[in-house]
Amino acid sequence: MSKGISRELTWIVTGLWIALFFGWATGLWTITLLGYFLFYIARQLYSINRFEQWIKGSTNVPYPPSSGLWAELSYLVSRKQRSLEKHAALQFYKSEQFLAASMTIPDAIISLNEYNQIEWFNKSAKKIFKLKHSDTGRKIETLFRHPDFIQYLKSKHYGKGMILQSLNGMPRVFNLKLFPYFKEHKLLIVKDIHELYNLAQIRRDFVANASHELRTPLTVLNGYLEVMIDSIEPESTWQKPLEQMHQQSYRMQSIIDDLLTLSSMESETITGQQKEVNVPYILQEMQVDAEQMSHGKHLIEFDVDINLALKGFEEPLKSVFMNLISNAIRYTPENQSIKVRWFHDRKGAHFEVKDSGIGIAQEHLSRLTERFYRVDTARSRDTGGTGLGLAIVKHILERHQAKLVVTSQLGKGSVFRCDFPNKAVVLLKNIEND
Amino acid sequence: MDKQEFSTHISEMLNRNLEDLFNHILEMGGMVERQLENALQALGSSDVDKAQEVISFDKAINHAEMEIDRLCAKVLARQQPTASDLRLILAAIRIAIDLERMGDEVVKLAKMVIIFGKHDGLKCSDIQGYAELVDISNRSSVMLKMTLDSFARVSTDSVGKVIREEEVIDDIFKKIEKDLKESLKTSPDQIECLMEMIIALRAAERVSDHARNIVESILYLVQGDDVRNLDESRLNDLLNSLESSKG
Repeated sequence: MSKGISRELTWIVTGLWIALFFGWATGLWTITLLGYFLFYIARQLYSINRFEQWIKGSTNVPYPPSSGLWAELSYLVSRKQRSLEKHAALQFYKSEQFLAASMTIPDAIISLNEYNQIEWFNKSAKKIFKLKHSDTGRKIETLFRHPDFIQYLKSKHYGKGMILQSLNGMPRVFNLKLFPYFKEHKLLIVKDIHELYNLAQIRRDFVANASHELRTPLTVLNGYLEVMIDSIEPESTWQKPLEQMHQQSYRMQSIIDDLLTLSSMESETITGQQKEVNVPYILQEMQVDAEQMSHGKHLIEFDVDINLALKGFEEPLKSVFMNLISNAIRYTPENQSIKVRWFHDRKGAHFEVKDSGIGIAQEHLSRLTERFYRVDTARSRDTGGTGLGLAIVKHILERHQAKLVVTSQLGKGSVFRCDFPNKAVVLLKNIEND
Repeated sequence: MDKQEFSTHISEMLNRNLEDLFNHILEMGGMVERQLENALQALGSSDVDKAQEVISFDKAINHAEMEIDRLCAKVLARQQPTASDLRLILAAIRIAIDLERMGDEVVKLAKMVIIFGKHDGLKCSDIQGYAELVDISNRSSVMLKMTLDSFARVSTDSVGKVIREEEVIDDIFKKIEKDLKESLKTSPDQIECLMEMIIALRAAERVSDHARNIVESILYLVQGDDVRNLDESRLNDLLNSLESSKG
């Protein structure tokens, strides 16, 4: 039996005994019982009233009723209240701790509610945006009024974030990004990427400058070597060394060319608009080049969808195709076949070069696109590779939101496939007119 | 016009319209701020393209002013606001006009960059008065930011600072104007460039004048006092009272 009921029953029974005794003593049974009944109801009502006052927190009633069911009830209520308070204190402590942690983060963080009003912000946000504590509750766009930012805020597509070259008069590069979180709320995170930006810039400049500086001396060396080769006797002992020197200097030149391509690719010089690139036409031209490169030693087969064009950057795409084709020619033994395909399916457009060459072991596949990474050092130098070809390919494909997929089996050959997304595909109708 | 104040009206519509108006002004202010910053960059690097961009951006600002006018007229016609709401609308109209004028002055700055860009081998930075021009423009830019911030926070804390700064700019301008006038007499071969520089300096100085006007509108909005055309002593009294109330 519940404690409350048993306490109440004890009270009723005790009261009844007293009433019975009183009735027996006086003989006024009806009045006594009626009195008992009325007293019981009055006491209940009084206790209910007190209990209500106490729960409301009235100052007139500092203690809850102390007998019967109501005593038990108030005991339970106050116990529950205490545990709730404890829980709330713990929650408060936790949230305080969390806020304190967010304060120490070096990036600026501002939390916005669904109306873009500031909820809280950390110390660096205060510094960068020059916010005051009274600014909580104000809309972010009234205090940070950069038109580009307002547009970004309204766009609802926060994806990549935005880069600002200066913020509140500070000429530093900042990366702003909004993250939707917790229902309709947003988190604005601002990173100072000035150092990073500068570093990348310096690295790019260095590569570009160094390659440029190396070019001139190489041209001179090359020129003299050619003259010397032409002018010596055919049976001279110098012929072989000179030829090798010439070959190596030529290789050095192509490395530098590749480095320059790569650095120009990275320094985002391709900021121009994407254009429609007539891939079938390019591949037609490339077929001739490929035949020349292999000197007719390979069976090169082109299978091109003539109606399939691509939206992108023409010159970079050419260098992707050329790199992959020349790789295949370089690593395929004589009289073996090379198959180049340009086709499209549900997923998008694909450029595929399939060779039956020496193949690549599994462990190398993931590192192929690293700069100067070589599977077989001795061999690839013989064939005149620069070690940068696939790095360039990867960069260009990233720019086209395309992917490079390589599958290979040792001894059987490899397949290099570029997957272009569907949105880049353009179908040509009047190819005959071109 | 505190953040809570927009929600104190019975009419939901009026709240929304007033808040909309408030945000529009700040958005327009942000555009002008950006335009001035871009003009400063164009000035610093003699970047003609950027200057061209500044000039074409002026259209958007003019458009924003018309939008604010339309909003003000709508609220006045439909809700007939009184007291601080009416003051907000009156201030809004004035601020929008000042912002639009500022945009026009910034365009003049950009035009100077373009004109110098056409002269081969002549950089803005070589003309006398360039340092002052950059100084005045930078100060004006900071002033504009302070002004808009105090409008966004509906506070009069930085009013004194803005008004004092405007006086400093006036002094700088008067001095360099005098020097340039002297140079006009002594070196008539440079007359075209010097004239252009005077126009640009005046434009930069006008930007700060408009910023001061906006601050006066804010003062009117918050306190209901009209502080235009005060004489020296009364202005000082006002600034002192503002500073003491802040402390």
